Amino acid sequence: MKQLTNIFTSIVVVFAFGICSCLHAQEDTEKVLPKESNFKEPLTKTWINTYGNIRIAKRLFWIAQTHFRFEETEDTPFVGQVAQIYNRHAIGYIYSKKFNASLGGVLRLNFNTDEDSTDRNLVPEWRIWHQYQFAMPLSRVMVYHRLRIEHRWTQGFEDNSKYIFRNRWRYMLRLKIPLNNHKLKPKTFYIAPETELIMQSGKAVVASPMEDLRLTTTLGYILTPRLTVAAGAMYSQGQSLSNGGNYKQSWAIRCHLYFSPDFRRVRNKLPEIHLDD
Amino acid sequence: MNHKRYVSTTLLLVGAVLFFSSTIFGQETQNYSGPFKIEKYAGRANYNYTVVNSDTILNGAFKMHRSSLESLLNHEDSSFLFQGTFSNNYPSGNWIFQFGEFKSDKKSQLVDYQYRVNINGVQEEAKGKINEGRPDGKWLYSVNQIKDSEVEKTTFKSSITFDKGVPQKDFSIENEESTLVGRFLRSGIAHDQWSLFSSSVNGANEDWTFSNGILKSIEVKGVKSKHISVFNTKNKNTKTIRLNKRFLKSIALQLTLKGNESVYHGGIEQLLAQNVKYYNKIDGILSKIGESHFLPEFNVKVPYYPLDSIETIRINEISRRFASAKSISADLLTNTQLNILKLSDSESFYLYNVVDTITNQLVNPLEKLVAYYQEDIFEFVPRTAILENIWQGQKPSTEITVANDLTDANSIQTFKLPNAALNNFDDNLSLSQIAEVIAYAEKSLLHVQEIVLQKVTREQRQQELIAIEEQLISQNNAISKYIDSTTVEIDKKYALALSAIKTASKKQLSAYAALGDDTNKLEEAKVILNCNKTYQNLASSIAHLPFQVDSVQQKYLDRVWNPFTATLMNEEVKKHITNAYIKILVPHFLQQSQNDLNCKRAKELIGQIKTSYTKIMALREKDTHKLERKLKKEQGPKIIMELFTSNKKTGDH
Repeated sequence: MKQLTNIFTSIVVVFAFGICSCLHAQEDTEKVLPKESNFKEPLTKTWINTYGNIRIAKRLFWIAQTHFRFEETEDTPFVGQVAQIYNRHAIGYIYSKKFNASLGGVLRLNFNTDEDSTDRNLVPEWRIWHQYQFAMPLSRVMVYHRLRIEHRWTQGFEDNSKYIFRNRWRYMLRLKIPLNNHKLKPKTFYIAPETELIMQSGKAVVASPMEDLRLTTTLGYILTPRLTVAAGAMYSQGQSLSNGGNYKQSWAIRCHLYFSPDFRRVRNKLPEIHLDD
Repeated sequence: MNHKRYVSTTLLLVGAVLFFSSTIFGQETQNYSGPFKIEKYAGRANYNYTVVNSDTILNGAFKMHRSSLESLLNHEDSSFLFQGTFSNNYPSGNWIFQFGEFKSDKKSQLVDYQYRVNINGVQEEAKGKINEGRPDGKWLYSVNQIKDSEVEKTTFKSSITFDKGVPQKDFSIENEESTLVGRFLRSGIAHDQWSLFSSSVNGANEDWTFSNGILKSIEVKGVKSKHISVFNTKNKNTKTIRLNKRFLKSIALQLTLKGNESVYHGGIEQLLAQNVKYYNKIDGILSKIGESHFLPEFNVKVPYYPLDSIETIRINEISRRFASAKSISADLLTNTQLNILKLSDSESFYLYNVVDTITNQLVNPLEKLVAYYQEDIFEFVPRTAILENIWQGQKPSTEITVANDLTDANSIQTFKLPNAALNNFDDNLSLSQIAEVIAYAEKSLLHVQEIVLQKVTREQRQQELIAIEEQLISQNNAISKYIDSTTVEIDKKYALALSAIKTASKKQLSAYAALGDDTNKLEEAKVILNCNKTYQNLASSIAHLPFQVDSVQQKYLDRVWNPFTATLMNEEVKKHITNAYIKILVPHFLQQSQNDLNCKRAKELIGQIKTSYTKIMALREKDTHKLERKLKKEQGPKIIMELFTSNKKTGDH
């Protein structure tokens, strides 16, 4: 437990340091900021996300996520065009029922959604990410704190655009509240409100440390311990990288599929599968 | 005599070596010294022998003994000493036998460079000469009580002179109560006066007077003196027999016939028996190592009235029929049904009285006659004396008149076996006439037995039927009650099956009620009784099904880690198996219970419900991949049950 606390403390320190450095950088760009923050019209999006969580050993699992993100066009709200295709992989370690950590990489394919642009249509984005998740039961509700740190290399759609490096500091608070059962178990509907704050830092980040604030609520259904579906809506806002005075907004429909197969041979599964419960 | 039978394992080896050496050295005398066992006596022996044709022949000195100072000091010691000589495997020459049972006071004393301990106990000693295995010359047998290593008193002593095993001249046998002295003729036959003196002042003294072996008279002296003549010498036909129990019984019989039963008190018999016991002990030892006839042969003569061949046949027949009549009579008189019935039913009362009277009048009087014959003393007294005594001059009758009415003490009835008559009895009752009487008695008892058994059986059946019918009704009520109370709280599909069982049970009882009063009713009632038990079991099996389904579901759950909720969840596993049970077998059982239920079907169902549950609970831990594949395709309950049973792969997870 002491070890856990240490990890947590160092993450918080890193996080706080990030925020401070962002604030310090802000001073130089003060002059280009508008007098009042400027909120853009919200975009409409649709996210269809699959979350794979494949058990590979007693305490190790492989995270395999593929997300399809659509965006409105002028003619079609929500699903007009493909915006990003997202491939996230990692190896996770189950420390206990209450804590797990993961480390992996992301390849995101960004599509140029500017209908007027003549630049490249598709550019890759690379990330290394690590995440620390705490789960705590609170009565019949499960509460999750997720800290995710991403090291991100992005580039613009312009030809010869160079990669810029940024760090992302993400914290998410999520609840899962079972509706038709006293606890989360198969054949249970649950409602999951969540809030995620994504901060960023890096040379390119001058006055826009708050990249995104996402408020999401989904309704989920646990089909089996290995298969869950959920759907819901998300509102988000965040500063534009180019000018911290400009705020993007969006509404998104989110559909999720969670699956967690276990391909280990039966005799390796038992009894370790119970962890230390 | 093969000596090897009596030696210990060690001796077997020695024996084998000796056998081979004897073939080399011929009949050379050899010596054995080592552990040895004769019956219960185990000790050390030292003896000489020769081996002839692989048999050990004892020759020369023999000594065997045992005594243990250690066990004497610890608790007590049984010591013995057998010493003498053998000649050509027969004990010959002087012999001494000693048997001791000693305890010690555990105090020792040093006298002349020897430790001495005092002992208390009993020492038996027999000594005398033996000639070719038979006692010869004077033999003394004494039993002494030892206190502080000194003879305190002699509790038994006998002194008998033999000539090659035949007792001669005077002898005396005494114990603490009395002393017997007497003499024999050269032929070993008792002669002249045998006297028994009692050691106590008030004890009876007894003189037996023999004349050439025949006991003429007994003179009892004491408070009630009496002279009793025993055998007379009119009958010249005599037989020489041993002076043993048989002879004493024949004296008793003789005295009984003369009405002198009470005077005989058995003092002589007791002394003789005690003496025989001690001589037997020695004979037992000697005949186990060599060859011997050590028992004293005390002979007497008795008058002899032999049975001819026809008489032998008759008396055998009487014995046989007597035993049979006694056994039938005992069965009937102790028959609990008859004993109960005779209190309320006049016919049973009459039959009981007939059996009792036949037994007392015709059977029991023959008891002694049969006993004399079986004890082999029948031929030692005149036939007429015995026969006259049987019915004391009364003539047995075929007509048995007894009370026949419970309510009227004066009412009587005469029993007579149809088509049976006894020949006229003349004054001299013969064995063949007695045979006729006992034959009549036996037949009569058999006749009554037949009537009684029929009566008892009829009565029993009636009683049994009433009891069973009561049971049937209470069973039926129990089933209804159980089902009614169960259906209240059970799922409807199970309730329907239970109601069907109730209906089947009621229908069965109605069918029984409609039966006529014929003889099959009892059998039918028994069948229904069993069937109801089956229905009861089936109802309970069905009522348990929901619990079984539940426990199957519980059993086939696995705790699985759900990484998205970070909780453990129950996962249903092997669903093809649980589905086959819950969705096919259980509905099948319920369906079958409602479908023309009968007893046979119910029994099968109980078995299937039980077996399928046991099997499915066991399959959880088995490797069932193949079974699951088969079950995926299979919908038939029968095949599913077979598959459950035949899952041969037993590899556990």
